[in-house]
Amino acid sequence: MNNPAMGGHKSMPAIDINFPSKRLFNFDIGSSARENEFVAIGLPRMKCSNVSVYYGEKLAVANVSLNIMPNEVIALIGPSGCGKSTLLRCLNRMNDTIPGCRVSGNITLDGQDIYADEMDVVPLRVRVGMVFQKPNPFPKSIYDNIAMAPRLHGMAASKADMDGIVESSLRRAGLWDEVKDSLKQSGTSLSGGQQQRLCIARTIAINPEVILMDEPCSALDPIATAKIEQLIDELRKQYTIVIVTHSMQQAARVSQRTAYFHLGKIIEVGTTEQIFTRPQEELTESYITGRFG
Amino acid sequence: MMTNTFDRHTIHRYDEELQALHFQVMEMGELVLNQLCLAMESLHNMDLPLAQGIIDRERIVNEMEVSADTVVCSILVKRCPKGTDLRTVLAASRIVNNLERIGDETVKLANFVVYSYSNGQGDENNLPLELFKLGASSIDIMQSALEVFERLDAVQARQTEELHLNLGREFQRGLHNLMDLLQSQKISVADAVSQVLMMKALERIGEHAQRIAESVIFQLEGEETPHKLSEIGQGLPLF
Repeated sequence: MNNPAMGGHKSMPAIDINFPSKRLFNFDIGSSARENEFVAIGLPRMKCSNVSVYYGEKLAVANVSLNIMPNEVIALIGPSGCGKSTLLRCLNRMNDTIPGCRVSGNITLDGQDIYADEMDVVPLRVRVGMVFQKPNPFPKSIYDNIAMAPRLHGMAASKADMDGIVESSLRRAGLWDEVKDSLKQSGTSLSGGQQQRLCIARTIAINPEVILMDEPCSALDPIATAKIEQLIDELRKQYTIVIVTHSMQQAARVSQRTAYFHLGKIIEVGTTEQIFTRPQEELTESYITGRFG
Repeated sequence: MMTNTFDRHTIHRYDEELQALHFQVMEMGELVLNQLCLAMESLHNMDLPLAQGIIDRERIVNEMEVSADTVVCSILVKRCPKGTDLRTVLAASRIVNNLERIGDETVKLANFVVYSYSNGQGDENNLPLELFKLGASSIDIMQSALEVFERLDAVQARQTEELHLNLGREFQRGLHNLMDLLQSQKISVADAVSQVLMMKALERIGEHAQRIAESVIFQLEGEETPHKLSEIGQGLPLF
């Protein structure tokens, strides 16, 4: 991983109201040039080719191929145990921590094999951030929840820089106005919806390229869910988002493409509109219309 | 891909709701078809009470439209239908809308009988044969569209297009005949206008019936049938 240039934030404005390009942070982890190239020519940001995942002897994901395009929200749907979360966790190698988990096939990020021997998972997880089902803020202040990762990665040269990153991240997560007067308050004291937005702010503070979301609204009420969904729509302008959700309404609302999983396989991938109105596969139709079981 | 429209939802009540909606639309269709048949009969026999009955029953047609719309809204809210179910509900909504408009056109035919009596011409029937041929064709296409919906038959739905084209040709022939009669001064302008309006009402009924058949294709196959530029009235102003 290339460390960010320590002096790189001097030209960065303290307040990032206008949702600036991530290049403003001058946070070079060796991907920007390639990333631009991929965006420009419309190649997949991430590409899964013949990916299989085993937990011991159990096959959880079977020979899945999927392209994830830049600046799209792609929803992974399917019944419990179909392998969608397993595949999601492969995208930033979160499964590495699970004993007995084995991944075969090929997953690339901007053309780079993320399972290559030389791939360091720390910068990978900077580039591919993750938001979990249950909000999991650190038991620290709201400010420190955001500042921790940028501090770790040396993204801020000064306190003013760090303040800028914290404010920018909270603004982009739609949380700034609610917490700007209580930044020293513990992150765990926020409501569930606020905590989840704090976690999203924490994820985007280090400017990932891809954000993985594993049922990010399953523990939230409809109002908090709506705020997260609005946020996802905003974030799509800058990031690529892969979301696992059990709510088909949510998939329909937030995603441009949807992939339907069944028993570890991708049955169908298409535009969200097509999947929910004219699915081509009987299994997809049965699932989305509630004709299973 | 096709799935049996009314069966096998995990929530059985959902099947019942979709089936109830289907029957409700069928019931409305049968009433509207009956109204159309009676309207042609009232024109043929210049039967004022029959015509009055058609006009009175239009209220029931409108109430059925409102009722079906309410069921559609309820299913949308409760079930958030997708795939075949979504298309089933949307098709029902479209069909109900077309049926209501057919009902409106039917009332126009009945109104002619009432108008004739109010002008002291009630016992004269000077209506041309073409009008009744057009009426019979409208009934045919309407019957076909309802069968298509009842049986959810995409093959017959596509065949309805041919009936619709025949209706268009009959409409054109009727208009040309009327123009000939006008030019030879064998018919008054007032009568010609009345007949044109009735022929147009019957042509519109055929058009709405065709839309019903297309809605069934959409329901079954997810295919939106592009509305063809009508051959009807080509070469004639305002049609």
